[in-house]
Amino acid sequence: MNPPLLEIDALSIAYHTDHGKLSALRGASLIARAGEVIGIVGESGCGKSTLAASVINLLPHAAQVTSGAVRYKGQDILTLPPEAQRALRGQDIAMIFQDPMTAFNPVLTMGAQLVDFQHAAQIPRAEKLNRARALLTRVGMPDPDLTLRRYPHQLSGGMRQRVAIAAALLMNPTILVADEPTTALDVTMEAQIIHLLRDLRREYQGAILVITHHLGVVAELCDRVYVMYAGEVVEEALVDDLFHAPRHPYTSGLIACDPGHFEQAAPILPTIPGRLPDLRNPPIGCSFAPRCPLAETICATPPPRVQISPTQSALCHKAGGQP
Amino acid sequence: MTLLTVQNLALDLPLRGGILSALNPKSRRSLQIFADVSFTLNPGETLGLVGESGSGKTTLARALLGLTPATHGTIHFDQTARRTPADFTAMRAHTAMMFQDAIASLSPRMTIGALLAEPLTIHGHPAPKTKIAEMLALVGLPPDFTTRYPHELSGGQARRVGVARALVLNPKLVIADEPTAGLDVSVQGEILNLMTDLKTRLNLSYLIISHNLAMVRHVSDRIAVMYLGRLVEIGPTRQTFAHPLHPYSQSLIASEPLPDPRKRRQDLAIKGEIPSLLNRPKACVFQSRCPLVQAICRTDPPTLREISPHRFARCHFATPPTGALS
Ligand SMILES: Nc1ncnc2c1ncn2[C@@H]1O[C@H](COP(=O)(O)OP(=O)(O)OP(=O)(O)O)[C@@H](O)[C@H]1O
Ligand SMILES: Nc1ncnc2c1ncn2[C@@H]1O[C@H](COP(=O)(O)OP(=O)(O)OP(=O)(O)O)[C@@H](O)[C@H]1O
Ligand code: SF4
Ligand code: SF4
Ligand SMILES: [Mg+2]
Ligand SMILES: [Mg+2]
Repeated sequence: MNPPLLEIDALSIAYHTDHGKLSALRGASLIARAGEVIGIVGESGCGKSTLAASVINLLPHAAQVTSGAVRYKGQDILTLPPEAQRALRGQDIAMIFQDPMTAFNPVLTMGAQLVDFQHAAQIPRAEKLNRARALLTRVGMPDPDLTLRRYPHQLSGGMRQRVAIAAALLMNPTILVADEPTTALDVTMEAQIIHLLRDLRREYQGAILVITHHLGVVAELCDRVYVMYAGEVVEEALVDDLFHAPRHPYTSGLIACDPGHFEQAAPILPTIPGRLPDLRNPPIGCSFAPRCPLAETICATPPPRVQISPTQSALCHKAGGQP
Repeated sequence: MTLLTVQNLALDLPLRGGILSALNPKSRRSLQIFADVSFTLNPGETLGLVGESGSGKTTLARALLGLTPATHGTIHFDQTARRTPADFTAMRAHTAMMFQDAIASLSPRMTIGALLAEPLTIHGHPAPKTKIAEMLALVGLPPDFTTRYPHELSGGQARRVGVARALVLNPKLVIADEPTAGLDVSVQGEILNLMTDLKTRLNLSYLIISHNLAMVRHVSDRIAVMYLGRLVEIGPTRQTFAHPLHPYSQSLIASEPLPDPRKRRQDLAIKGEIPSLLNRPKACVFQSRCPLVQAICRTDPPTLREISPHRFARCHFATPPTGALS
């Protein structure tokens, strides 16, 4: 097996807010090897974007890494000097942000920004524009030339998202972190982007981390999946096991809620009743217990990480039993 | 009686500067974003609007509320024609828009409490703290969120604030642009159940724009499909999903990724060059990608015609579906 390109090791991150310290990540670990597409799924607010921001070292000021490490090719990137971090971000690690509107400067044309993103490359401006044009075509943008002259607000939501994908690919990153890369796209365009990401994985031998709420995208694209809940990784599995033999009750609940599963229109969609715990005071025991259909008294104590197979583990007192 | 009637709506936007105007100096060219859009919406009805990215859905939504004025056509809301800015201001007291970019559409310097109070004060209503707390509870957020700022929220939390903000004025019509994008499936279900519940309680109408076909299928009474600035199909949801009439709707529905890795697909559902607004194909807009294209499709523009009862498609060759579900 390939050695990991990226290793997130027991990472804990807290946000300082007016209302106290919020533990957004609590000992999250993840590994990505060359050639892998990793999926990250989980409830809104469970810390996926925080995890992604740590990989490119763009955490907001209010965030503090309280323990753990993020290693790229064996080197801890959180402790690198800012210069070295910026160099990594430009060339090795790239991110497609969740909110494409916020990724662009509203007063510059897309062309100017796509050229700027290549500031590290020692090639003439015309060549940078050509590369931008070629990538815009590849992500399915009609009229790349017109796009280069436009401002962000003149593009539709899905167009901005495709330009954001093109921007992230400009530097041939080794690690691509994509936070909801296809939510603003119609499904035919989404299919095209999925194929593009599959091809890239093959061409670059890099790793792709995809954060998404769309389980269909996970099923189509990912090799392995990490399921997060309240700042922790609660399950890790190969994509087939995730859908066909999930072992954490939250994973099962998540899959059961997906409207993509039902043939008939349901007047009331299923949900997982209850909410995420207050992350300013995370519970000592299992954080899913108040919502878990299988909860027992033992669940008030910290659950173990049960290794089900070399590729699957679940953070649950009851994951050891038969599925 | 319908709540909203839209007839032959079209919208052009100016195309300024750049090489194009230099090549073509005699006219200040404008770009047709959409044209020939007609549909109705009844009280208590949900219409799902789906379609190609960039086909004009958001722009259409903005035109319906007068935020970007339409170039041609008519809009009737509550039996009254809406033409002037004053007409639309009056209309907006009874309508609400949930924007596509959840976080970007919330002003970063205002607290969540202030953001929820704003629509009330703009329209001259009081905004007591109890009302704000009630709206937060309605969308499942704790009361202490009133003092938070948008950047402190996760994407999903920001979306819930957007729902609360849309509903605070008790509107008759809510236009929701991607209301569940960025939400996990459980919260998505919660928000849609909430919207459905409010719809029956308040006799709300919704126009829901989304790329999430599974979601649209569950919440919409009818669906409309847009491609490159034209409505290409409109009809009852169940029949449309079971037997889409227009070739674009057919490929759209066939491309949906299924939540099962054993059903991965290797092919792209639509082939052919993606056309653009700058060189919109003459006659049928789908001709460059349509597997059924014929000579007539390049010469005669198809109209949106009734193919079977209540089902309309803009295609020369659309035929009524055969079989039980038709
Ligand atoms: N800048 C910030 N200041 C304070 N709290 C924050 C900040 N950013 C995020 N949080 C909080 O940290 C938690 C994790 O947020 P994060 O954005 O990582 O979640 P997420 O899993 O990406 O959610 P979503 O699926 O909704 O995008 C949430 O409770 C959120 O409210
Ligand atoms: N302010 C503007 N100036 C110029 N062109 C614009 C402007 N706003 C939108 N457009 C163009 O209008 C077309 C339709 O955009 P719109 O945002 O309505 O699409 P959409 O159907 O909502 O797409 P998506 O599904 O990606 O959100 C696009 O080609 C876009 O570039
Ligand atoms: S540890 Fe207990 S409460 Fe937590 S997921 Fe497992 S069974 Fe449910
Ligand atoms: S009119 Fe012709 S090109 Fe257009 S959708 Fe129908 S068959 Fe295809
Ligand atoms: Mg996020
Ligand atoms: Mg849009």
